[in-house]
Amino acid sequence: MFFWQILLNSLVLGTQVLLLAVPLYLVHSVSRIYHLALGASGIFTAYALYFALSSNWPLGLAIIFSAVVAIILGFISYHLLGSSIKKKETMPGMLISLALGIILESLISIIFGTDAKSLVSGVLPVISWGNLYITVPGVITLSAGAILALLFLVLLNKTPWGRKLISVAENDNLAASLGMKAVSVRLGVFMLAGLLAGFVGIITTLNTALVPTAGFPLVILAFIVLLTGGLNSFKGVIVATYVLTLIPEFIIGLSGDNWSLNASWKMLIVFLLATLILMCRPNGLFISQTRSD
Amino acid sequence: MIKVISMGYFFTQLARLCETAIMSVGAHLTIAVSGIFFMGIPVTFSLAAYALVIAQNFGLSLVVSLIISFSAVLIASLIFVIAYLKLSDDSFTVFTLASILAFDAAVKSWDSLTGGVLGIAGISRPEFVSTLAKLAWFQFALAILALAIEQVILKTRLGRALRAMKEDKYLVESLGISRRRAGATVILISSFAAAVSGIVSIWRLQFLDPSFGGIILLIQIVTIAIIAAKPKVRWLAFATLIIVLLPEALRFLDLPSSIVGHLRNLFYALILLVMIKNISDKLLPQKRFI
Repeated sequence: MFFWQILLNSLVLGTQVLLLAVPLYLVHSVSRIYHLALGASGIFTAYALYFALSSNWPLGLAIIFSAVVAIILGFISYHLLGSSIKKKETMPGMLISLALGIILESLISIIFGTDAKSLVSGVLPVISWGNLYITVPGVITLSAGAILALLFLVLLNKTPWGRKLISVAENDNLAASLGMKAVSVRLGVFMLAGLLAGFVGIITTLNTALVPTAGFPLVILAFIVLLTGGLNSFKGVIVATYVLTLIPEFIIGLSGDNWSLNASWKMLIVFLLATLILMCRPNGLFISQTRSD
Repeated sequence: MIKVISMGYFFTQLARLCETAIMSVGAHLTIAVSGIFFMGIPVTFSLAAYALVIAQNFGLSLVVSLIISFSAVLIASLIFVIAYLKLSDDSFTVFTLASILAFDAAVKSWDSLTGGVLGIAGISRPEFVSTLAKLAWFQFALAILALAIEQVILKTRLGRALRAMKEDKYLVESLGISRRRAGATVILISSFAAAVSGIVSIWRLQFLDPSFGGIILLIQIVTIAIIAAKPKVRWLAFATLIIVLLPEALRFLDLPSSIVGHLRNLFYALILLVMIKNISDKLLPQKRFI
């Protein structure tokens, strides 16, 4: 039973990472930029929700407010990164994104302080099934993860929108000459990514606590997953997400009394695992060769 | 309320300036000169300090502890070199960024060795830098030495190879220069410069916890490297001076102490953002029109 409980917890955590890996994947597809600020953007959105709820706004209005904040952050990100995308300068783009992330974190710390806050007062509602327990935000995470993964697989591979996105990612000049508005596609992706990151920020902080620095570890974990799965393989990203979250959870959960490991070891184990995988397969688990530019 | 500047404050700022200058030599050589976005500098900075302090806590002499510390840094930097040789440029940057979090996790988790989040207090300074004034002047000498070494490197075959790599990394190979060897060498130099800076910083602070190093330190040194975009040592010295001393103005304003640190981080991030937006052409010289 202990095994199944660890599996369930790992699935929730893995899905949180996957939910952030999806917008990172989309942004990277259309811009070739590692958008490091997405984690901080998600946490900023969660703080917007916290602000609205603590100001006694109705829940619906609070959700709309946080969604608007998330979309605005996506819009700002796009405009800050726009010139780097146009010039195909991925490294300066990544540094701009990192700087934006630090700006958002610093603003949160100045406005709200660094002490941990909670979006929900009291104990989180729990659903039990036999001896297995899962929180309601955990159920929402799993459901949203499953729906979104399926939705994006279909959207990317089977719809005109997906083809448009892939064509902009492959060659934006060619896509523009065929009448597609590359700028609109990119702007749409950035705003969608902001919204998804906001959702992840809220879900993650519902399960744990709201702290200004929560976004960076989450976004780095999602990037490790992207690199390990293969940047051009959405299926690879899904598999890598669960491999890289399940193995550390099991190592920690099943570590014996003599060599007991706590949850704080997780990031180190993930990093070592990813290092091992990337040293053997530098392009990721599911990509054997990549085209050179 | 204006605070009175004491000699202690002067020596602290001098020491901070020199520590940052030593570390920035590595960031400058990798990011600004060679175009290698190596983000693992805070890891070797902290690793050197932790290895030294832990070895001394086991009763080892300063010399043996220093050897252990530099050996640990050598192992970490070799891992970075392997990653540089194996991964694409973007992936290498993300990998080195992730190493900061992994090191932070290791330090926080292995509390029997590192003191965990509480850290290690009461670190003693070696006899030859027993006072803050002596330490500051020692660091000043080290910083001058580090800048002189960079000046020499920039004039050597390695320095030209690094500058050429930034211009065009593929063309440079066709000219018979090993991009892999030059990149690996500069990553090693950068790691050791950060290690020296980490060791002298810990002698100043005499306290070590997981907040030593980290992303904020990275932002600071990357900002310096970006401002000092040209492969010239005087630019690096000027950028270090600006970035270390300018946020000090915040200390003299009557601001709550809880937000001063965050305002400083905000300042660094804003400078970084503005600088990259304005000088990205200098960062990527292959886009220049000659």
